[in-house]
Amino acid sequence: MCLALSPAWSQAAGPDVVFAVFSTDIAPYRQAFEGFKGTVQERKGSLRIVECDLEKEGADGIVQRIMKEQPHIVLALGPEATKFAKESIGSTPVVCSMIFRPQFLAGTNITWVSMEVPAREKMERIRRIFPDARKIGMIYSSGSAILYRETVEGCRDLGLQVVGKEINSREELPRAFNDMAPQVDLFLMAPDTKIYFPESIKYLLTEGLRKKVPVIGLAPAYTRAGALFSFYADYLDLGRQAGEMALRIIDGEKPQDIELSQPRKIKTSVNLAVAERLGIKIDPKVIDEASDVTK
Amino acid sequence: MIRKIRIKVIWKTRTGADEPDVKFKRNFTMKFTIDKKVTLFIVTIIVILAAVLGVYFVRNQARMLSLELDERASVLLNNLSLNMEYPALVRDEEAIGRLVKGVMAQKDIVFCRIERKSGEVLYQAGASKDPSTKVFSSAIITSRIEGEGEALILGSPKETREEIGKIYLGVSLARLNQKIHDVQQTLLALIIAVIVLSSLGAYLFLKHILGTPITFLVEATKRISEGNLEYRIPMESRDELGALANSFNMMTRSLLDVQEELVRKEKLSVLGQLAGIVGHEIRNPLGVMSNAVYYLKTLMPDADENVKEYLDIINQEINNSLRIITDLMDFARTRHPHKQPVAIVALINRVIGKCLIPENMAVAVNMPEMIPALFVDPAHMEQVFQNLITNAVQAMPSGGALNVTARRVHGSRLKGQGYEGENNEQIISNSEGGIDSDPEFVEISVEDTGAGISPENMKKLFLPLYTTKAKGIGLGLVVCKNLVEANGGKIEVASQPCRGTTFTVRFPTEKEDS
Repeated sequence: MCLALSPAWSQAAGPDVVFAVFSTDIAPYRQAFEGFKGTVQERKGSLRIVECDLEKEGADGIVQRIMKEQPHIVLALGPEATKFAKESIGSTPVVCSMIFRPQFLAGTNITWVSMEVPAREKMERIRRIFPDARKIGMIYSSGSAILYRETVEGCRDLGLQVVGKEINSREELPRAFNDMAPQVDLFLMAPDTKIYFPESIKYLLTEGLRKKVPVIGLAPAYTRAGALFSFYADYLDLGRQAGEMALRIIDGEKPQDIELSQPRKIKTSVNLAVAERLGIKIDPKVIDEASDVTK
Repeated sequence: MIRKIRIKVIWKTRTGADEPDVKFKRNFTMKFTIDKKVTLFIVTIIVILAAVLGVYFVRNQARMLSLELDERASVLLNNLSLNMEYPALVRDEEAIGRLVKGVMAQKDIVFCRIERKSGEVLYQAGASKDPSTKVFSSAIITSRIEGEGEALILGSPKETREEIGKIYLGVSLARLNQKIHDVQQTLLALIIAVIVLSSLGAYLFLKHILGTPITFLVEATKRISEGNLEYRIPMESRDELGALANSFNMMTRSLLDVQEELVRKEKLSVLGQLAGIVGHEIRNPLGVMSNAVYYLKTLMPDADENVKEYLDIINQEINNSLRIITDLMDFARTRHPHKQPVAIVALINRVIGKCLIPENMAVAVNMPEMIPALFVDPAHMEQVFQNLITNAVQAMPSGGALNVTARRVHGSRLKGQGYEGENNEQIISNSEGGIDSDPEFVEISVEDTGAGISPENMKKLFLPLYTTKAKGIGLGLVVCKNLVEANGGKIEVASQPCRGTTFTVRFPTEKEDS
């Protein structure tokens, strides 16, 4: 699969084409793409942006199109597209977005914008919203252990304590949560697909309500499904950030020279029905600042 | 129309012998009448209809109950399947057992088995020994996240459905079958009740509106065929059968009238033939007897009073006989009138003089001098008035008043036949329609104060051979009528019960015929 599409991107690349490769066509990726497109075309109106759906077209089909079109830059949206870009696109510059922590990308012609909300940022917000909370529960696997450590670090000086539990499989999640629930004031979900899957998330949210443990989710969808709060990056702005990186590459900078960035805008969603169910009074100011409120 | 079914029943003797001479034979005749036929037809239709509806209803009910059971099982399965997803995935036997117990608590559930996709039994409660157990199954589906689960983290998971196991639910059909059986039994009882009641009702109704009237009609035809024309069908219904019965009664009444008329005409025919022969043969001996009586009276002027009385009686009876013979002969053959001007006052006085008037009877003759002469046959008129005055005298056996009145009438009109006059008088006239253009005529009335004539008898008054008298033969008034009409006049009668009767004869004051 690994192809060297062109020996030197600057000489062979077509000046007017950018390929946007979607891992899959879901709403958050689409928002990020719109942000990217708007930013790029604002300055380079002549740029043509070609959309590709990795899930539908497959890696080979996209590779052939890229070979034919010789795009200036490839925008990879999501981990799958990022992995594809790393493995299949030789030296063409790649800007990745809508990914959490792709350590495997180090040292390549790829740069990216992380969508992970910094742990410190999260903890500060929790401190502000839940001034009485002391213990935060967190279940993680070996893959997300670093996130746990960052969270522990982020709690420093905020009067918060993280109660963590590492598990190795999805099946362990219910028991781990049940064991943890009596000890914590709220539960923080980690972006770890190794241990989270739809049924366990459903279980977690349901049991959280039953055991009166507020759950902090990862996206507005979790809030709507039963989490009390979710802190998440502004997907549109993530796309804009990626667009700014792309413009810098077009202007001549090398991808590896562009520093990785974190989300500039953090959004909050809140579920007032869950708050009422849990008996938690939310500060009206927090509600006003929230980007998504479920009543 | 009526078919008879003969049922021959042979009654065996106590010993059970079969010899013909010891058998009691009874014949029963059962009429398969039209109301029974119609009832049978209706019952047949009801039975067929009830059978078809019953079968349809039972099948429909069975289908509905079965569908209801299927639906209940389906809902249970779906709920169980949804709730079973996670426990089956993580093999949480405690949770699986809790869910299965909940399902087993439902009615009719015999067993519940949870299997993994591989066929391994995860949990089973109950067993399926009952052959009438219906087994339902449903797959346990879970969602699988494709790729690295990036979409899941973003709250937009792309799910792929995957079957991870199967649920088998055994549902007993025993209660369902019992329900269907109950429905069948109830429906059968209902149908039988409907058939019996509707049959009975239809039979009674048809018997009332059809059977009974037809029985009356059949009975009536039987009576008529036996010669009983007086029989009337006792029906008052206003339907077609009532109209038929009414027509039948009218027909028999007409037949009776025709029969009576035929008999009367036959009698008259015979009488006419006999009258000519017998009258001629008897008149001569009577004439001899009358002469002999006259001779004896002449020979014995000083005879004993008893002898004279008996001679008078003989003479009176001879005169009566002669009158009867004259009536008979006049009836058989009315003589052509020899009309001439007749002074009616003199004629009436002469007739009164001839009639035997008892002493207890007051006779009044009211005859104005200005009465014109009538142009009639004087012999006919004498006979007419003699008959009328004799009848009046005989109508007053205990005495009374006899009034004979004559008067001129101008511009009057003879009334029709059979009407009710002033003071409730029943009036019978021999006039067919009246005389419209007759400006003047003479009216002579003979009035008695006897018992009067009943309305029934009034109608038959001028019919031949009709009489209420012991000695009469019922020809006097007929002869009167014939003679009056032969002379261009009319006769009518008015009577009031207990007050008397008035016979009135009218003649036009015509001149001599050309």
